[in-house]
Amino acid sequence: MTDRFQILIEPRPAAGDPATRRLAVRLGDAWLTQLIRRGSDRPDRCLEAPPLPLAFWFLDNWWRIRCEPPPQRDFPAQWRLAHHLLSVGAGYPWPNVSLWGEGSRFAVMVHADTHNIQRSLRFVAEPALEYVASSTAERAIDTFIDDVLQDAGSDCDGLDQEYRDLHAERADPLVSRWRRLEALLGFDPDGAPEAVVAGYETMSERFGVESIEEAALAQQGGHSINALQATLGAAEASKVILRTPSTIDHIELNRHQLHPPWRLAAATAAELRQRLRVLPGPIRNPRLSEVLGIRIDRLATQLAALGALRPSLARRFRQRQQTCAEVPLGPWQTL
Amino acid sequence: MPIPPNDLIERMLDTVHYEGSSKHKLHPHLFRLEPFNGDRDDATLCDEADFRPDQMADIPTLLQRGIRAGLIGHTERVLWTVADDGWIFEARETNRETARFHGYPVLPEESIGRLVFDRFANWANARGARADRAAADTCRLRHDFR
Repeated sequence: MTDRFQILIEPRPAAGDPATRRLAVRLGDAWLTQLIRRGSDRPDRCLEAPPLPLAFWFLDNWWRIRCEPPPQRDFPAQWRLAHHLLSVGAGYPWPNVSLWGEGSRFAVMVHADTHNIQRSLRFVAEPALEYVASSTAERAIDTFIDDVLQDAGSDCDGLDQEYRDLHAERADPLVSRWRRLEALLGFDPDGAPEAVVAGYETMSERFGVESIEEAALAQQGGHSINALQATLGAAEASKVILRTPSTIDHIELNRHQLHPPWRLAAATAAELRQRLRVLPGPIRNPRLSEVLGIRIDRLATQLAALGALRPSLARRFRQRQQTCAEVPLGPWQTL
Repeated sequence: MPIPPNDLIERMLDTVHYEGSSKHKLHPHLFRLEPFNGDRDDATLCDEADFRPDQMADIPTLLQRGIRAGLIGHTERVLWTVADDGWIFEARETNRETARFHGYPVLPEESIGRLVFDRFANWANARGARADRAAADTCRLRHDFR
């Protein structure tokens, strides 16, 4: 847990390629660019590379970096292109680091630099997953691009215009909401089918922005809206209703904002058990049915159809039904 | 990577030329290139992909292969190709006016490699020559693409 994330540019004293600078990425006390060059036994905390490709990569992928966590199963190539520093490419070996935003927090994941070919350098940062506040990450990227622009002057190859365009998008609530949805659906800016994003926008009015954004992330791609509509149809057709304990709504997640997900989940589960007066260990079906206000036989038989309905969407669905604390039952609703 | 229109492919086939870069060679003189002036930075070296001086003669053909396969970046200033030994190379524009490109290997863990391979393999199987299909197979094995 740290709140120090910086991307630094230093001048390069040696003569050579005039575009090359010494670049360093710092996370807490660790240098993610720390490397050892072949033939040297002294680590260097800087990569010697031109900063412009990195700056353009940040701008091109800003919305996805800021809004799109990794898909649930793996890190597919399309995702890595927009989140993995290695994808900056341009003829340089960048650190093996993934970046993504999760609302108010921002993940920095360091992967081991393992490869089976002779390389002129090797990154030595320890594998880790750390979180910083999203505002810290935004500030780090903005500061880096400001520094690149100042350093490059008029020779910035259009970076200044692209940066102004991005700032204008970030400042416009309607455009930024559209861009967020595109990113959550796994698309680059202007890459998503307009009908899909527009469909989600319409559904946001019915179910709320937060719920719809969660649903978009759960089922990315061009067919996302169809899958969501089918799931909602199944939920509306279901006769199974459960009563969510009102104590769930008052658990404050932001208290553990910079914890990794598993610690966040453990802290939340412990708090929920305490509020429900459920002892540690497995929860037997009779007790679970009592907590949820549902017949015990329903727990075993009515789970399949609602699998993709996300928790926050289910809560919205509950509100729309005007049935107070009743929601359709899905398999994610276990304690 | 957008699918390039045919007229762009035809234009690039006519205009793109290769000009080797000393920056991406450990021993430029072996490739008949000027020595690198000054201290080196951390540029990826073609030597890391076992690229040999005698392969320089194949580069124009490799560039044509990549262009025909539609391996062209959205700015047209970057393109890719797949060598017969399965290595993926990226070519980047050095000079816009003369359409000169220089190249370097795509490192195996770079995610662009998977996208380049997918498009190349589809093209090689549909419209490529035997050598193109063989290059795709070798690339799949080298990178462990499934």
